[in-house]
Order: sequence, then C-alpha cells, then structure tokens
Amino acid sequence: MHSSLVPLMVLAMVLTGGSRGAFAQADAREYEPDVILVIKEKAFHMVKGNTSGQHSEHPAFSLSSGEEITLELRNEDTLPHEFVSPLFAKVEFQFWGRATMVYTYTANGLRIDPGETVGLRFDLPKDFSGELFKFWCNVHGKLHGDVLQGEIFVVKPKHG
Amino acid sequence: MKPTDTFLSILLFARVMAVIAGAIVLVPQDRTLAHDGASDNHQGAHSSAKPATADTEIVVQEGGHPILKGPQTHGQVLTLVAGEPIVLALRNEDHGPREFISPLFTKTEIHFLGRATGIFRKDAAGFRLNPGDTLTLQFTAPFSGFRRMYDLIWCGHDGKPGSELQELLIIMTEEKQPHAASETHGR
Repeated sequence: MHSSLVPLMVLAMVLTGGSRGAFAQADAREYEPDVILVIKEKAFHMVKGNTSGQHSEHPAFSLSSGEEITLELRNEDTLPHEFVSPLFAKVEFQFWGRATMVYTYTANGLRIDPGETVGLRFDLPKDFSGELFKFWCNVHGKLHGDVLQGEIFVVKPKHG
Repeated sequence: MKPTDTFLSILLFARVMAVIAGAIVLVPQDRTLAHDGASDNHQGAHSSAKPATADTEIVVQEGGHPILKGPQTHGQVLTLVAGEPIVLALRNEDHGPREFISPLFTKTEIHFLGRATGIFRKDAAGFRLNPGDTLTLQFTAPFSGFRRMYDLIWCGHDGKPGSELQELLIIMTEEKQPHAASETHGR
C-alpha cells in the first residue's frame, strides 16, 4: 500500500512544484531600476536612487541628463495613487505593468492600484541639466501640506 | 498488490488531482501572479502578467495593415456603446515599432496591462508597441452627447502618424438603446 502511494506523492510534488516554478520564473525581474519609489502611508519613499543633496521636505532624487533612466514604482498603500510629473509631458516614457494613464495638459503619468508595481523607462535629454521637476499624486499630493509629492533634480553626469 | 489497494490508490490519485485542479481553477491566474509570495512583489511590472480577456483586438501583422478582430467589429469599424466597458488588445506582430493613437484615448480613463511607450499629444493619445508586444486596454466608452460619435485610430509606424487610409481604423460610439436611455432619464 505504501509503495503505491510513492508515485502519487511524487506526481503531486512535481505538479505543485512545477506550477510554483512557473510563478517563480515570472517573478524574476527583467530590468535593474535606477530609482525605486515605494508609495506607502500616503507618502513617497525612495528605496533606491541618488538623493538630490539639496534640502527638500519631500523625497527628492537626482537623475543624470543624457542617460536612459529606469524607475520602478510600487504602491504598497491601501489606496490607488498617482505618479504624475511635467517631466513626462516633455519626454516620452515606456511603461510596463498594470496601471491607468493620467493625462493632463501640463503633466502626465500613471495611477497605480494597491499592490501593483510599474516600471518606467525614459531618456533624459542632455539639455535638461539643472532643471527641477516636481512629481505628485493628483489625489493626495496637490494641496499645500500634502505629503504625496517629491522632486527630481536633473544633473550633469559625473563622467562627462 | 491487492485489488482493494489498487482501487484505493486510484481513489487517492483522483482526490489529489481534484484538489490541484480546484486550486488552479479557483485562483484567477493574474491575481496569483500579482499577489503570490511575499509583499515585496514585482510581478505587476512584467509584461508576462496575464491580461484580462480582450473583447476586441487590433493586430498589426508583418508590414501590413491593422486588422480588427472581435464581435463588435465590421471591417475597419469598431462599434462601442457609450457608458459600457470594453477590453481592447493591441498587438504588434510587425517587424518594427507601431503606434496606436486616437483622440478617444483622451476622453476616458485608460487602464492598461502590458508594455508600451505612452504618446501624449494635444488632442490625441496613444501607445507605441515594440515588435511582439501586446498591450491590453480596458476603458469605458465615453458619452459624447451625440447619437453617434466617430473617432479614428491611427496605426502608423514609429514617429509617422498613420496617414494612409489603410492605416486608419474607425471607432463608432453609439448611444445606448432608446429603452435604456429612457430609463436613464426617468421619462
């Protein structure tokens, strides 16, 4: 009796293990972000990236002009939040994941549901050096005192 | 092995399979991808995530013209009903990047799943897809105030808006049927 169970157990393990393997494969990140922003408790948190070095009450990071930037946004809050910036009205950005387009005359971006992660990739033109771009959530970051906002400083690349 | 043992083995095997099959059927695949494992998930950022089932597809094949597929399509025309949701898949099976740009995409909230480059213009918005990529859009057809509203989708090549007639698709958004409209207005 016990010997007849062994193949069944093996089969069950192979089947369940196989499906886990498929999910694990889907988990593998296909890119390495330059900046990771996590939205949590109605605020942006920079998990990875270069801090701007300038005094700011909101999260601020610097990006090098003339480079391709990959940014990852994770919404770990319980509400949908937006990541919108005038920068994305000036440069085209590639995105991947699940989100909602946010489109205005002066600023573009994405709305991300709780639990979702979205990647953005864009080229920063060289002549953007020295510019400052704000980013915010239209729902929770537009009014004075709202914390769901931040700043992007565009700097010259160190190597040139 | 006794016949009763064989019978019990088969019964046990059937139960194991039923449990596995039940788990696969009961858990929607995209939800599993989005929430499987630890909270530190990155799954949503992958184009491999399963999209919602598309009602309609726009497929651009090798060097050819865009093809509309689905029950709400007639040739180059896609018919929508104002106020009703639609799932529209854009698929680039061409060798080069292709764009799908429409004023319609500025008139309603567009939810997406997949990978593309956003294109934002003054009176139109859209998506550029690399070869082999699929982007699934989910939106509610907007109300226009007219019985029928026509919008174009330009399916051009990279950086060149579709100007040839064959590269244009038409979206016709109709008002709901009269009985539905009268219910809405309460008269």
